[in-house]
Amino acid sequence: MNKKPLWTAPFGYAESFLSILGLFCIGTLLQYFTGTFNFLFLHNPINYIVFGFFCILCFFLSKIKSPAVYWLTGIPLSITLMGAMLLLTLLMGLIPQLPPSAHSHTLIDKLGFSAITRSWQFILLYSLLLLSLGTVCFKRITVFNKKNMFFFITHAGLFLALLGAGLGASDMQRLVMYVNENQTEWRVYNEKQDAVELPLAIELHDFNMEYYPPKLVLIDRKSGEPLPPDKPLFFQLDPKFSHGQLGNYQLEILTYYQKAVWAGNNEYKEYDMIGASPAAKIKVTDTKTKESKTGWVTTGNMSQFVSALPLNEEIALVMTKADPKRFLSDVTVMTKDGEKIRTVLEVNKPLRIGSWVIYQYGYDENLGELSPYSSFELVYDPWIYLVYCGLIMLCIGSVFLIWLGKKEM
Amino acid sequence: MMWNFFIGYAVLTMCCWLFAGYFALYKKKERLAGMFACIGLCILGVFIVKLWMALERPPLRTMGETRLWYAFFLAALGIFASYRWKYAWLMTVSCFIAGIFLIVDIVKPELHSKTLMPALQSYWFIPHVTVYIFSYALLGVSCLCSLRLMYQFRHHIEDKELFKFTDNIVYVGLGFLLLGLLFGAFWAKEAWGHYWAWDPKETWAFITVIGYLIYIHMRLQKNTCQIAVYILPFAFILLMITWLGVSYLPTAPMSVHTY
Repeated sequence: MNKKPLWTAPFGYAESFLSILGLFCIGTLLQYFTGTFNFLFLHNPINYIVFGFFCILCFFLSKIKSPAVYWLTGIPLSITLMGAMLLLTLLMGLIPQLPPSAHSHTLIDKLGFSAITRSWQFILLYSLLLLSLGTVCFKRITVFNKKNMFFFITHAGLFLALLGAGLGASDMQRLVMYVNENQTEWRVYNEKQDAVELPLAIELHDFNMEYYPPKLVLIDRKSGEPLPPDKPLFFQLDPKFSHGQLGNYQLEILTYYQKAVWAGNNEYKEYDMIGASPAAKIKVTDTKTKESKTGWVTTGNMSQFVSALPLNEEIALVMTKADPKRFLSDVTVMTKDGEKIRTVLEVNKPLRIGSWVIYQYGYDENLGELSPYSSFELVYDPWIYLVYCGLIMLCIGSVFLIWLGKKEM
Repeated sequence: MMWNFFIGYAVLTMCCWLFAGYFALYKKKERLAGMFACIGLCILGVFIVKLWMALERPPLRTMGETRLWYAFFLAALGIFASYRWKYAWLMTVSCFIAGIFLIVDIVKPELHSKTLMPALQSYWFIPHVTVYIFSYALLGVSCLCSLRLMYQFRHHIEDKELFKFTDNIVYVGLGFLLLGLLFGAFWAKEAWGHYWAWDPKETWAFITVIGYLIYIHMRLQKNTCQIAVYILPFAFILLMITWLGVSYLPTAPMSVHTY
């Protein structure tokens, strides 16, 4: 077979590889001399202009019948591009990535490998990928048959999701607001610690927490380290089980209260109030010596003592800090145009109001349910609709993939 | 506490699968083999259900729990393939690998507590993880098929049916893999405010998807459709890193997905 000279139509893998290599080299030079790509440059309205320009460019390219466009929308380029993307993301998966505020010191930083998504190499390859995807979508938009429908929905879905995510990144705002109980807040602090006023305010009526039952663990009384040192053993308290084992010690849970307070006289009583902590009365038997001890162990908090049960000179039984089950804030959210919503915010249950979404974010972890404040993350992302449109198209495409397999494609 | 009974259930399951392999490979009694494989699968299924009930949460939180589902799905797919396409070898190998995952769970016990951190308490949790593990099992099967195809290439055996089956399994597996990824994106938006954060696990999931996309596109071209088979084992290695390996990488400390 005669070998086709380079850069004569039809272009194939060799041309694709060389173009991508060239693009990568240009990206590396730009990266080295100008630093990471600044996404803020694409801030509204520039991203809308770029979006429009990109779509028009793809549309016109799709109408041109030339070997170059054929190559742009062909499989050799897409496979080579995917290979290049795979290598770049592999670097991202192996090299710890730096936050945008970090300064570059090493050669790896200067070449952009510790901030791949902001590197010029990534941006250029990403743009070529979008150009190829966009053009092929416009090319196939007018062909109606089952096979094409699958092709269009997956490729256009990916195109919209990638384009929206890239261009929307500069408009996105993620801010954390701290609100004290029974107070209203409308300001957040940015990285420079300047107060920024927002178009909405949050009033926190109440912050509440629920906990799982805590665990029991043996500790070294001198060092406080959990035992055995290499792989500590834990016993999960559970109202359903009254017996357990920790190393050589047999445990019998005589009483367990999720919320208890000190009642004097070495006793605890069940009492549901703010500041109550879990408490368990436990009989511990050493399986070797058959000696047993009975006493209370508690987690303790700001208003309750910690109680441990010493088993001998070296070892004591203690209760760990309970894991949070839920944390929720009873709030009223107000906007500038007078909209008022009273709701309970918790993890996985955000509130959408206008273009903002409000998330339960955190609390004072040392104080737990006694935390005087609750924090909320406020996210503004006007491009989300375009991205979701793409993602839903990809979902439909995935169902097609599963339903039809290879044979119908 | 249910986990204390795991070794019993696992040994019973593996015994059934050993019988299945014996009847399939040495006695050529596929029906009997299928029956034993099914009984093993049912025993494992009963354990998963009982564990779910005992933990009062879906057993999908720890690595050990996901391995349990992987073993279940892999064996189930093997049995289905042997019933539907008469691939008895696939059932035997799937059950064998599923058995390895059960053994890993026996020798690497974890704390299977009832606690489920608030971020995991979402209706996305079950679909996100099960769909992912199911796709891992499908793509595991595709990797086995590709190894057999490579063996056949070397011995100049042409098996168009197996090639077609491999393609189908990759399509279906990739479909589930993408759904898992997209469910994860929707969930992340609800839990953390952004659908994609280039968390190391997300990055690796992205890499895995590209791996399989390359396979699919290579299969569409005449000059690359044969060598595409060599992509599948590599893609599966990427998948294994995504699932099991990410926690050991230098990028792991930045991940919310270490468990």
